Amino acid sequence: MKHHTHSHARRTATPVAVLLGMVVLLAPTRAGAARTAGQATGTSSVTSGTWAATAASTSFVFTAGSGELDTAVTNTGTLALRSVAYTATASGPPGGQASFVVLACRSPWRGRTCTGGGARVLRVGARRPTATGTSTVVPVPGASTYLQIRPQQVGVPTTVTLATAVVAPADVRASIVTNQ
Amino acid sequence: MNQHRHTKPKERRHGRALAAGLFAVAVGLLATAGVYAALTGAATGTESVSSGTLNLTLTPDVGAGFSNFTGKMAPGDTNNVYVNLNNSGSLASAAGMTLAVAGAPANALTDGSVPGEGLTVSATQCSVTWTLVSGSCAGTTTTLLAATPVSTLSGGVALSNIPALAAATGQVGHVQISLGLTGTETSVNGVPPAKTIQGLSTTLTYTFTEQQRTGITTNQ
Repeated sequence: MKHHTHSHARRTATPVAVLLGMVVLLAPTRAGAARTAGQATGTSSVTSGTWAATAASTSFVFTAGSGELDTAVTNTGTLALRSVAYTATASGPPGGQASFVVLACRSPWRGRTCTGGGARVLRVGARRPTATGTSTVVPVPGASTYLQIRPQQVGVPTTVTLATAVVAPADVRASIVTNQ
Repeated sequence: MNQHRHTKPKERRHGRALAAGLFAVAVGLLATAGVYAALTGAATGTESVSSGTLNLTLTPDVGAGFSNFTGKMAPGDTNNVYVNLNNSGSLASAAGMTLAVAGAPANALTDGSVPGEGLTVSATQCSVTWTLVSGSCAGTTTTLLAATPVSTLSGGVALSNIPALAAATGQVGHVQISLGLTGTETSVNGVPPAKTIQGLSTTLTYTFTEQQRTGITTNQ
């Protein structure tokens, strides 16, 4: 039985050996037919920046006789900005009278005085409960600008909610071309 | 006993006959070999042959060539490097060349996971050396690759106008490789979108590949 197995193995091995021989003989022909390629490589690393503005406070509650409220808006990204978009929403009892203006200043507010240069951003109130505005008073990365929500009229308790948005590429610094 | 005595001479006779037969075969073989040797002739010829080389080299044209950008890219930014592609081997290349670009690690800058955003690559040839300061070409420019997302370049794409670039032996192509960033996303209240291209880093490997000219059959 053992002998028979060896014979079978020999019978199997013979065609395999023939096939292997053919592969060996044909391989140089195939290699000869293939064409050579030349390659050159180079590497370059790159990092993208981030763009974001974060308000220290986003919700402001006003009642009759309330004064202005301030908040800092910090550039929490790594890129300089051209502008920041703001959306303010005023919510209060239906039919109530309330209106506010939002102003931006480069330096902290001193009461109603902005000493660093500023501008009005938007106006929001009962007649216009949601308003958007864009301010070009923007901080450099890591620094802040200062918003003031100044009541014009507060007939009923009203909450003003503020949201910041930085839209690329419009609000991000002007594009730069680097040659190196 | 008698029978035993008869057997021995018979065996001797068989042995002699076998020896004689073997001798006759041996003589026959020797004689045949001698005749065969006498009929063999030899002729020789020599020829020499040299294989060519196919080398594509990449060196700085002006500036640092392929290198790392230290600044943080904003959408719309362009980072240019200037390289020379040189067919420095002894064989011409076939018309056509491919460029593959792969990022490691792969992320939203390179893998197309944020639709419409990410890095793009373009390639432009100048007929003379580029001017680094302005990134301008004093000669004639030829577009080899229009701005293409890196996410589509991992498998390699064919560059245009390569016959004029580095097909012939010793020919040098002055190429500007421009890397751009496309971004249209909005960060709200300081938070970027869930899928973002912001704050990511990657190392791009650019691979230029040329093929040798087609084989030539020479009859001489």
